[in-house]
Amino acid sequence: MMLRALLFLLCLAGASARAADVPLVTELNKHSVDITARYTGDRILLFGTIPQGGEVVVKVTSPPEKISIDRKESMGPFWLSGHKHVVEGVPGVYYLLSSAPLSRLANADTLARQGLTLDTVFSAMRVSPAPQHPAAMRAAILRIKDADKHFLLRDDAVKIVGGRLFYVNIPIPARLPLGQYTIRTLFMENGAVVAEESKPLNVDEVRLEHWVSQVAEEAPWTFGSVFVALVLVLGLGLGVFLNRSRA
Amino acid sequence: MEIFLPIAHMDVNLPLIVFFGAIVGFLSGLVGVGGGFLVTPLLIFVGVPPLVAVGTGAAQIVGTSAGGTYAHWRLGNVDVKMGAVLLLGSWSGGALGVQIVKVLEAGGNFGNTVTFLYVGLLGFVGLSMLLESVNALRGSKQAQPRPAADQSGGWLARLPMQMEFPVSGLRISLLLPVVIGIGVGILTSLMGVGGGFIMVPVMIYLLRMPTKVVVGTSLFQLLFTTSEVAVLQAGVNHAVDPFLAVILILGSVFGTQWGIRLGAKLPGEQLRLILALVVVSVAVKMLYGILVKPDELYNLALTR
Repeated sequence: MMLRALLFLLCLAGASARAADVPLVTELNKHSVDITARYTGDRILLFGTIPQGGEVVVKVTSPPEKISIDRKESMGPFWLSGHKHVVEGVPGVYYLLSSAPLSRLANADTLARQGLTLDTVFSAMRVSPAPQHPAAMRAAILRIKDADKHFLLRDDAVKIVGGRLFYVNIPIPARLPLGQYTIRTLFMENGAVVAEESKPLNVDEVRLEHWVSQVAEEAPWTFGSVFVALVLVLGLGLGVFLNRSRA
Repeated sequence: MEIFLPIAHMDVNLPLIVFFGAIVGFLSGLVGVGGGFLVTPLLIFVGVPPLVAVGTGAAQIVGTSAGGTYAHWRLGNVDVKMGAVLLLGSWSGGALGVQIVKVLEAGGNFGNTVTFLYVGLLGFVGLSMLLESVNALRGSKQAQPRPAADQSGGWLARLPMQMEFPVSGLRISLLLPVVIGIGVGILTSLMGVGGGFIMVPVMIYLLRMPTKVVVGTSLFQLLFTTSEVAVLQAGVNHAVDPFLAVILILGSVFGTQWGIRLGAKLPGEQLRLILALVVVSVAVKMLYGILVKPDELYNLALTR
């Protein structure tokens, strides 16, 4: 699959070698990720062509997630969860994948302006109630999200082949926010962004899972009543059946 | 083999959850305890949020106790009038408990509360089972603690609102079962347990119900209490994961059959000892979890 896509791209690159007016072409091997009960993570291949020379940065951003964060506090002999803060506006998944270290591609100002830093995740963050130690909380969010592989910073993820062709495998984690992800590809040369292209990626629950979580969210009372009634019938049925088969 | 849970928003290992269900069913088939008190801690150990663990625990008990309740009901072992009075209490307690859960969860204290309740409950249940089985293995014929005979009958008989319970052959105050029911209902909401381990001794020693109807009436009561609490947990707290509940139920139904068969073959006292050790070690693990400084002080969780 990947090999064929790359071969296709190589041909494309050869054919459009002089088509300098299309400096950056990107494509995904699939445009949606379906979350089923058996979904345990996925991998998306992004590939494309670039003009000769320069480097590639791929930024993947998911819709924001509403999370709660608490800090374990020492109370007597116990370590207990302290105050809970609700954090909104932080993307659930945020990757900066590049073909070279970002610091070598542009200066700090340019990177910040283009939103190519990890700190960008906090640009729309709202925390309530306001934390006592905001810096420590930010560091903790980065640390935990990094450990969960929800925030990734990889300067060797994008591979450039023959100076004109690039590809990157984007890991999609097992637990992730749903909605439309943005995959933004930037072609960088001489410390500046020369060209960029964005591709959407839809991540959604499908079939039964989608229906169940939607009903449970939007009509929790109906869901609860119907589900408990079903469970009652299931338990009764299995009990009667197994008793009969044993007797 | 992993499966994604739509309400808990996480992956779990499918065989592991089936195994948890089977353990619970096995226990109920083997020694007659419901085992709901083991499901919640086990789910929390594998990372299910305490709120979902508790809400799904209640739903799971509905499925696992339905068959048994029906069997007892057909045999005439259910004191429906007593059950209804108990339900009056436990439905109120359950409704109250679900609101307590909501407040605790909003303040970020629900996880702590669940941990302390479980360390206390499992520690108590486990240690008393341990003592009992060690005594039994030693062969010491210790005198069974007899119910305090007539002096308790005195104050119970003086309570107002006396009522006849013909199936149990009792005349007691309505208040007693209602108050007991409230307590059990709150426990069901906060811990995701059926409360049979409290209800059975209370029925035998305090209410003095005939042994014949104790198990059936307790099952009847807890079936409808957990049903109410599961509906409320889904409605108020969005805490019932249907996939998780169904997997646990399937595991436990087959575990029960396995437990009944094995229980007939194996020496009961050794099994009780093993069960006691399991319960005590779960309590110790939970206690250890809050005594040792965690590597990561911060905890992130998805919220609604």
